Amino acid sequence: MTTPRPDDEPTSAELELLEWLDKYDDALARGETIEFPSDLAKKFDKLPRWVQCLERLGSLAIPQTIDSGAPGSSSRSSSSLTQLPRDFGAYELLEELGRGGMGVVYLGRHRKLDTHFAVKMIRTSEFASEEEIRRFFQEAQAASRLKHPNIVSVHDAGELDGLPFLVMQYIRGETLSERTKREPLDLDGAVRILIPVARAVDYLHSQGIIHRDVKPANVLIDDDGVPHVTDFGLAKVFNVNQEQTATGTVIGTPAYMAPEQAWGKTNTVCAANDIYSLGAILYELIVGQTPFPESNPLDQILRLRDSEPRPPRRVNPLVPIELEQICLRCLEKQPGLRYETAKDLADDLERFLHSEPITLKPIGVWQRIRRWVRREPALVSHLAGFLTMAIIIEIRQILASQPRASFYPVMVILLTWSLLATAMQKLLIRGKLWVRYVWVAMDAVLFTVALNFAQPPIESLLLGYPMLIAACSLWYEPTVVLVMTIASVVSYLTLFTLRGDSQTPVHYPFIVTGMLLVVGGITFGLIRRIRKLLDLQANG
Amino acid sequence: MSAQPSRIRQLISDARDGDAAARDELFQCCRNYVAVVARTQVESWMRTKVDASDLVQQTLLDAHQGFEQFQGTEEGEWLAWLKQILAHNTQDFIRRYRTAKRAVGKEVSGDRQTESRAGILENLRESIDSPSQALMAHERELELADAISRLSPDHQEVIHLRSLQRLSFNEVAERMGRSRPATQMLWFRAVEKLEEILKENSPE
Repeated sequence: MTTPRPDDEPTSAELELLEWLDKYDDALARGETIEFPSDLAKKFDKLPRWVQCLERLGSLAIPQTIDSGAPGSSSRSSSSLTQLPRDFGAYELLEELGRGGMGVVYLGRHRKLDTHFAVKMIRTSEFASEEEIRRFFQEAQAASRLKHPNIVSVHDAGELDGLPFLVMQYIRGETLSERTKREPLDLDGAVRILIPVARAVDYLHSQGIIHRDVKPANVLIDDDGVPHVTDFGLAKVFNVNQEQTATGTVIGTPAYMAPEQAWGKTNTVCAANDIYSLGAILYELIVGQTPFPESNPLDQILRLRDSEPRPPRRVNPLVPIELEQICLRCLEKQPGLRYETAKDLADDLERFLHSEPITLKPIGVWQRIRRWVRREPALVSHLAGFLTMAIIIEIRQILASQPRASFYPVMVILLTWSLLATAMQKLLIRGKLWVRYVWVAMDAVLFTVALNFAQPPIESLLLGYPMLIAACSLWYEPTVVLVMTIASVVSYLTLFTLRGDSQTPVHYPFIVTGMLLVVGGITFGLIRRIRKLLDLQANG
Repeated sequence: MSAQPSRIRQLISDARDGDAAARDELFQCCRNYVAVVARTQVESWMRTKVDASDLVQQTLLDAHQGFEQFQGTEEGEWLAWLKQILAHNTQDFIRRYRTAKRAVGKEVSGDRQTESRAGILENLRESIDSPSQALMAHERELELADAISRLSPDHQEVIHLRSLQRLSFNEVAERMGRSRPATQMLWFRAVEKLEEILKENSPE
């Protein structure tokens, strides 16, 4: 049944089992249980025993949530390090406020001053070298000089028991990400929140600090609804933003990261990175999803580099055109094309709010085409191909002494093909991934129909089939290549039966079929290999 | 239920009566348990691989020296007592580990160590008077820890990182230098194996 096989490739049933065990394990950590589907229990008779095993492991595991109860509660047994409240230098740590990549934030009370602060304890093993300690305090020093109503001020920094910590202003409220999860903001509300955030980021820039990690979780909204930016500059010291491994791969969800940052070009870190992130926040606030909502980090990184986000108005038609312009300008791929300063962005947002004309000039035609190419590459390449073909046929028609019979049918086919491709693209943008299969099959069929009308001998035009197979590999999807190969072979054989040249030797069709299969097979293999490599990189 | 809890109870009682062999056996039984818990505690705090054998050694030593102060009779109480000593030592261990890593070559002051040692036993005396119900709940942890330490090194690692330290599979995959699917599969194989070992050890 489940004896380990040498290659240990999971079967599909095992994959499903893994997924459920994983879900169960996560639920267990939260103190809940979930039901397994009954067919799974039938397939794996040992399931109850594994579940029991997981439950027992849970009792030895580190507790997921920190018990902030009184001393003597169960957290005491797990580790005195997590016991609260506890003494911490001049402070008493009362409860945990949150934890992130770098450390844990506690609500602390200064005993002498009797004031509440947020105490951030840095908890990373990388944090060991003199150099990093020095940089940490240097950043803390720079941060402590800042004074801005929308920036969380830093009051103190130090080291206790070898743990560096930062004492910051305590903002009572919630983060912007919690706020939006609770209830989406309306358009005006979103802009109203973002203006002070952009001004705060601009203030940071004027002080020579690049935030590098502007995201909703780093914007705290106090009880009066005023936003406060936190955690600036620290990303540089701890490198949490890039989270790069030695090989330079990016891990995590780069949802708010500028493309140049996501690709690890650390030498280009500048104000434009933060402006991109502000744009990504704006996008999420007005559209309801991040610019590249792919769940898989691999696809997210690929899209972040190669494609454009869907224009906000396509997702949410209520977004005014000015707001869309402002947003997309922040999300430009090239840093130089974004707003020059965060202040310009804030000013434009303010103008938008007061219904004044924004300063942004509409983008040029060239830039518009580039955006389109990146957004809908499949459609653009199809149309470009048709246009080239049409031009060639048109010239031939003009030069010909007498009208050719194939001219009109072929032109009609090209036109139909263009319309269908546009429709396919529209469906694809709605997230219907099966469209790709229909699209490639349609390509093979329509190409064959066009060939059917072409003047004989058509043998040289058969090169179109391997071209189609090669082109569809740009989806990076092995099954798409498979579908295209099959469709090409079937179409070709049909074409040959319908209007085979009597002079063609009988065995040629077999050779052509064989060659098509080889091209398809090689392309299929290459795509699979590329996906595996990328997957390996993205997941460490 | 396996016969082990009653065996531990017997060992505790014998050791208390001055049976040195029983006392040695009692500590031998718990070594794997202390090692598993120590590693979980230290690594989930430090977020990296740490050799916690010093911590295990120190904890067992403290428990050995302070054995007279242990008042309980049950396995659950015994393990809770060990965990408490471990928790105190963990704080100390992490502090020393960090300072040592920072100031390579600088010897850590011995005075401070002895001082904190005395403090630990002092603190323990207070907390032992009030054995908490919650601490005694997991009587079969000892058996589990033994089973974990009988796994192959890779299986141990993946169980530690994923199931005990509760890292996400992405983090585990990165730490182990494998792809995520391979790590998930490895974890599943480890759970399978663990279940087999546990079944073998507990005749029903």
